[in-house]
Amino acid sequence: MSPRRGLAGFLTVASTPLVILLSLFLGRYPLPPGRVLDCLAYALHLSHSPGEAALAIVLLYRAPRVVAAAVTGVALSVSGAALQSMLRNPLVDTYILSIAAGAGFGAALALAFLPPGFPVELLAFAMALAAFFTVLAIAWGWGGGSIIALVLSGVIVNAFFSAMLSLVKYFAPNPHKLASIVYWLMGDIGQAAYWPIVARMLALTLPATLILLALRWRLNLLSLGDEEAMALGVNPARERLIVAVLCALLAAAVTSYTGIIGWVGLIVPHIVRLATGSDNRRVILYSVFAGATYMVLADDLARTLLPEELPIGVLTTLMGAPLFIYLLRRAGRVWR
Amino acid sequence: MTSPLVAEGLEYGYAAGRPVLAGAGFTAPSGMLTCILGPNGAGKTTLLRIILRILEPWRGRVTICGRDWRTIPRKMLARLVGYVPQSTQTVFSYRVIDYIMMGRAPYHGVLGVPGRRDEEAARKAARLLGIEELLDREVTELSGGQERLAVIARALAQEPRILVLDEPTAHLDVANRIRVMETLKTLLSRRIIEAAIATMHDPTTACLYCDHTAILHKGRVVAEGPPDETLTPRILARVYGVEFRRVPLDGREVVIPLRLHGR
Repeated sequence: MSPRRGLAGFLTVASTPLVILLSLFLGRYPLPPGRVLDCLAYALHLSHSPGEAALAIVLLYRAPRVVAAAVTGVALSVSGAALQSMLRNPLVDTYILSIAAGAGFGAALALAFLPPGFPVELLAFAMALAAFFTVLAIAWGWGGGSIIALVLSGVIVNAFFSAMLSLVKYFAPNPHKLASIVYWLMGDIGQAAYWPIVARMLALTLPATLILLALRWRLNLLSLGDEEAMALGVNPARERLIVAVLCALLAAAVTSYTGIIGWVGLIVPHIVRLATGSDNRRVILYSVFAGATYMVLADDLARTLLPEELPIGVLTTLMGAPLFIYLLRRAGRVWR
Repeated sequence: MTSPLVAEGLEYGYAAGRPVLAGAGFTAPSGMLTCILGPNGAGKTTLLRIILRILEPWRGRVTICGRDWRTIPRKMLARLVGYVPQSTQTVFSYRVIDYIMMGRAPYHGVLGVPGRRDEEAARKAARLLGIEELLDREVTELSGGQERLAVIARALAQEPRILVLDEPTAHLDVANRIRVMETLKTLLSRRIIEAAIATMHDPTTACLYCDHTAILHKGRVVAEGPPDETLTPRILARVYGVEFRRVPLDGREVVIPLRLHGR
């Protein structure tokens, strides 16, 4: 590995714990840095309690929120990187392929009509998978599976699931549920800022991410296309199915709690590729860290930029669109 | 000695009732460069895809190293047969060393990641093709000829006994065409591979380099054997509709295309 790539990799990995730690000092409630440090020291059994209020803010609100943002960033970025490789398409992620919209519809359906104890992720996962397969069927059945056909069929299926979501809102049993669905759909990490929810997100995203990490070299092989992969002894259909299920799982796990967040999964893998090259043995690994850092920073902005909190989905789009134009210019040269 | 690869009675079509191959078969003798010639649409690429079991034929079979190829698991097949596709279609750019290392896939399970031994195999393949100085470059930066050699190196990293190449000289300039063909001859004479099968467009190049020829026409092999017996003006006129002349060259004969037949 070249020294430049090695340095880029190291900085990426180092940025995550640093950004997570610093983010604990940010927030609406004015808390001097010393008090935050006291809280952290208390959490590590190093000092006495700095007071109930400070503890609650740092350990029960800011910490789970920052971790939830990190987990969301990891899930979106790793699934984006994996999807781009396995579909040989630099323009896709769970958002573009309407996997997120499917998951959102499934989760909304569960929120509106199913009893509170029902695992929302289950329906979100089923619908995410259904959306993905519909997109693939349209793109391969009628568009020949080209880069543009895949993106266009994503647009079509996205529109369908948006309409279905509107129906769910229209028929929502009461205004309270309607309001929570609407707000949740805009994308908001704050709703996941409880340790039990973070634990549920982790229970799905951790194994899925670890399996995708283990498959990182296979993603290189899939990116060669079916014919070459088969000639190298790979069973591309089977391995694509595994990756598809894992990506749907990642989308369902985070969408169920944070709503639909676009652009992160599209952009982060490209930033990583610019820094370390396209080999997925590095791209998947560094997407974990770059995704976490990117999302935590975005959420910091959402929390602190304006007196009112910004919906994170709006912010990632505002950040993502111009960044993507820049990346298209820079990275477009290495795509064919 | 049995031939490393024998194809018999292969039938296949992309639409029912419209066969592209109608009983094609040929033998790739040991130690030889076998050329499959034929005009556009004769079914050359389809034939290779069937040999690699990318396509399942309607009828017929292929025997590879003495075994019916249907009984060989895909991973094992990839250790016997290395494939050099006509055009590579990498969307993302890889370093040449990483690209060649992908040829090590048949030696790993689904969760496998290449290690030191695989890197050595990749470097060895690059050395055989004389592209060691390219190993740290990006594949997308390579010229057409360099890229071809990198793909052949990837196939060699599979450590196959047979190399299958789809039009290895297409889109190459004269120097690179010679380089690729000479490389194949060297690999065969040094016994690094047991047999090579290449589809080709150009009968003249085939005369110069091939040891064994099969001419594919309308889904059938219409002539098979040494080049001087198969690449005759009569057969070529029938297959290509082009008038060829045979001229002696350094003790053997080559065919030169002259004009469209009947003008």
